[in-house]
Amino acid sequence: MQTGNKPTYPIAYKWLSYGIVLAFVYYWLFTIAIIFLPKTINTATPRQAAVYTAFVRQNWQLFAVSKVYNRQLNVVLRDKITQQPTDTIDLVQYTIAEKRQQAPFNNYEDAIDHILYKEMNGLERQLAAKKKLVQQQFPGRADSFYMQQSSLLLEQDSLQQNLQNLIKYAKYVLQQKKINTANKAFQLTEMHKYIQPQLPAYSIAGDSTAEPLFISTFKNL
Amino acid sequence: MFDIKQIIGHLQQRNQKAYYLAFLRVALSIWYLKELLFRWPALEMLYSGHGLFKLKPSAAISLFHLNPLWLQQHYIMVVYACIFLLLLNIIGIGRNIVSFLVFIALALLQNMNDTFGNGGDWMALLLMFYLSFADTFSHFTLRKQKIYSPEMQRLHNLVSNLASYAIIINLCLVYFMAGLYKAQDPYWLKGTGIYYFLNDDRYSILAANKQLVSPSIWMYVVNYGTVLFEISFPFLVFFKRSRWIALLLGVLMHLGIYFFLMIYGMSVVFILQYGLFFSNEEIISIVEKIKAMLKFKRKTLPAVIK
Repeated sequence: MQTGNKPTYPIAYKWLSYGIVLAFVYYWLFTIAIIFLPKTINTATPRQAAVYTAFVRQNWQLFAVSKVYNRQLNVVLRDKITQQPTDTIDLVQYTIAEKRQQAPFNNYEDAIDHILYKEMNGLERQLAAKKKLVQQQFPGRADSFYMQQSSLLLEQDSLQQNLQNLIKYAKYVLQQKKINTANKAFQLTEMHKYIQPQLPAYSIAGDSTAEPLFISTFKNL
Repeated sequence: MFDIKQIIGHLQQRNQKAYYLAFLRVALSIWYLKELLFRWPALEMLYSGHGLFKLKPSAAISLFHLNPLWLQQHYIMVVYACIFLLLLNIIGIGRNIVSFLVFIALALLQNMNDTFGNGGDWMALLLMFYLSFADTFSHFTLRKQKIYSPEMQRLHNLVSNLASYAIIINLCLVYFMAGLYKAQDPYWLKGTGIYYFLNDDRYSILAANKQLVSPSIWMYVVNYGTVLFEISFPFLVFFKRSRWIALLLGVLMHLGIYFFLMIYGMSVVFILQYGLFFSNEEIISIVEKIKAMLKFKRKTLPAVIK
């Protein structure tokens, strides 16, 4: 019996070896396909693509998309009685300063910085969607009109979370900086400050000016 | 000619990167432990859902068939599980089963909040995935290595070698894709990509206090050099003569990212993989040389003091 069974083992191992190599080849073909044809693969094999993205995500732009601006997210405090502005704090600069101060052991500050940026990305995406709606309704108006209207629409949207998170963070920073907030209202503004082009003649986008994206109404703290 | 039988036979002979795979298992596990411990004050904010920001887990969390709310409430259990499994992985207990569990636990943690994390985090997770298949237990383990039947050993060697090649292929692919994307970006094409990154105050240590980094000829050299290096890395690294140059340039690039762009973990994870471009014999010879140097220093130290 034993001698009769012996030869089956090498054959099993042999086929297993071929199976492993086949799985290896399939994995790499799928990887290359999802990198070069992400939309096609996501449509053709949604389940497989979802598992792949959750466990072995491959997205390697690594600084490939140049950013021609720095962001400014200001929290502006105003005296409720005199209606005069009292303090302006740039939340982005505050976060970056904290991150720099603790470097290279800045995992906590780096985490906040990442989340702050993702929240601003979300806010900008929502603003762009609202702006599109306003543009369809009121074509041919000035950019400032679209910016104000989209900001208002965003504030009225009770489902959005990004603005709520940014307001929460603004209050946290005010606390950290020990700023007196009694009898004061606050406003949140976001803008892009363009980096001066290195090659003005060849610049594709961006100059040294700033582009306001969002201005909230004044709210109670 | 391309002979699959011969290739499989060659891959089954021995674990070609045994020493470095073992080192990589330990080094990567320590890196993850360090990351978790350094992120400790941020864990509640990142994973609990009721920290400074109200954050939701990624949609991929449904793949784990776990209630996202329950996960957020018990996030610390996932963190402890990761730490426990990483410690076991460092000493080689539970071998590939523990390695695979480490990968699953870390993937779960990553998907509990995918708004956070850079290329280094995703690269480290990929490495854990490949290492969970490899035989990384020939060195640096608490227990001696298991002795398998010859057939089983051949199968182990095959899987292990494929896993180490997967890491090598993946690294080459990452650099190549990064270079290809840069070659499509108008700013990198015009030679100003580096200029804009050095003036991005979120990353650049040079752009502190809103200072503007002035353009210089070096920026063009680094800009085009980076694109060229990334695209050519997969080709340069496979020729013995150019391998050292490719790896040296890679180290320089990652040191630049580490010191100028404040992205610390990523550089370590990338550089750690470079050892796989050397044969087992080359790695052992380098380790022996380092050991000899350290012994020599130890012996000469009292004489110097005298």
